Amino acid sequence: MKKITCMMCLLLGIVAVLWEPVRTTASTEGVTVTGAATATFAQGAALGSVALNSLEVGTGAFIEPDGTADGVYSVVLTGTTLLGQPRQIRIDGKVLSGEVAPDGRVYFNGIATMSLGDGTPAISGVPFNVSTTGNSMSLAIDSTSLPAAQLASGNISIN
Amino acid sequence: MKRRIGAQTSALAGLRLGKRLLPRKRPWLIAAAFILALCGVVFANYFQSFETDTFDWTGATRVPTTTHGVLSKTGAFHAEDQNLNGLTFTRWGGYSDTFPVGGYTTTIDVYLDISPPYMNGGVTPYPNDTRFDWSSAINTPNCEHRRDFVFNAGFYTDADATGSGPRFVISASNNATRSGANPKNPGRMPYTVYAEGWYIFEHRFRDNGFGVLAVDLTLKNAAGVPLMTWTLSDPSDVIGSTVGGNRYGWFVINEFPFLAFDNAGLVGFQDFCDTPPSTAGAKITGGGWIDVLMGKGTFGLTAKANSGTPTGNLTYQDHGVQDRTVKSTAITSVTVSGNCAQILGTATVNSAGAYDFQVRVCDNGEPGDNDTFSISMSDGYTAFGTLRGGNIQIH
Repeated sequence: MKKITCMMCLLLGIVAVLWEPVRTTASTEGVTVTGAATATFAQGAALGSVALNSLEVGTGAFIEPDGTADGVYSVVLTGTTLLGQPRQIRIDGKVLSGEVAPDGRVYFNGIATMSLGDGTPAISGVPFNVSTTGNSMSLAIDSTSLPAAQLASGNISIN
Repeated sequence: MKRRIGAQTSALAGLRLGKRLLPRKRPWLIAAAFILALCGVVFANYFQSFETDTFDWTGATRVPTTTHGVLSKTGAFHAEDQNLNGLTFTRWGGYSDTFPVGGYTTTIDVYLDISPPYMNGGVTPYPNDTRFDWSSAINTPNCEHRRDFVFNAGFYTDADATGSGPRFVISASNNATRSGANPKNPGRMPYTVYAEGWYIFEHRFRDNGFGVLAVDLTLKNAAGVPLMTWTLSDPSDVIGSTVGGNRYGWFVINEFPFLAFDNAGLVGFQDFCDTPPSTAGAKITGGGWIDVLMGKGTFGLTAKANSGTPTGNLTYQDHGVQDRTVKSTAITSVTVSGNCAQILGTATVNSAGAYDFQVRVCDNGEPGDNDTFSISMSDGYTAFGTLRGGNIQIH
């Protein structure tokens, strides 16, 4: 039953990735996204039963004009469980594709390994989507879209 | 010291701005540098274990483990000086013109062949008084040679105050060669080694507290336990005035048919006299975090060198007690050697100033659990470690 649930989640995630709204304009030159930053979530952000407070991200990716991308997306989500216990969820992703919207917002996505921090084995092959302006970062992981986290410290560069 | 490796040009690296902004020395910087020096040399700014190549070595012959009966100190390869007698040296990735805040350390593992069978395949000991000298030298601020600091080592079979039978006798001085030095010099505190094996020859270049260079030459056993330390200092070696950054590491003489060595490294920021040329086609991406004191050190890295022109970005954030955000403003060099890469550039710290940085990353396979990241900056900041999250990809 667990396997079926996991498969369903995975399929939903893949569908979510595939049905992501098409950006109207691709950049004519490649861009790089480089970031090491801390960002905070507004109240109400949650992944599963974990209420999220903040994220710490380290990422570096080349996004080519044809939409392919090479890079790394690593993020630690910090929050609390329903029982009030602190919890860190670790996501280590490989960036596979991306693009730049006319407003400068960068989108990239790929496949990640997610460790829920609850002692269960890490889950691999989880699709993720990220969009960032440099001041904020939105993450969709598997079938969950998290609200944008606002940069509190550090830096995200889009060049 | 009569013999020197060819004169280094005095062309200075272009990254000057950071020097004017150096903060006053702080104890934590010195402590961090010292801890860095003590910790694994694998996180060194320059590190060569000869696993894939002999990058930045001249005269080093890369050999697989067990060659001439010697197991590599680490990994499957090490190197030999095959009696080239003065032609085996490294520039530690490049000569430097500025003495780094907190100093720097060079280290190399050398195999002391004392018992039969010997590396030449025989059971007869080497002739009494067979020698090698290992020097780590320092520059002037103009990138010219300033001074050598030399381990003088000799193999002996005779009997005297240093011992008897097959053994190595080692001392330290500012001179080399038979005409300039003698391992048994009683005024140089000779130390005798009877047990065959790998030994670590370490040079620690530091400020003596009064702005004068002091160099601790420490002989350690294979496990890193110090056996003997010699400290050399000359009052005319004034840091910033007559003393600059690192010069070479050099087997000034080697009278052995095969002298095995491994794991040569330099720990400490290097302000290169000449910026190393980028590796054409290099492409590196990285993101993740390492442990730093009381927190995480998160980083994001993109670097490439299309046609040899370096571009990219580095962002680094220390969430610990040394809280800082580093954002690159220029990438000046991207070099790849084996599975490791070095990225040089200039950056702001907490949105201010212009500091030189030196990042070294190693891609040790997928996922990135074994990958490493280290950063050294011209203000003395250092951080290093194996990734706790994320990945390094050298494409």
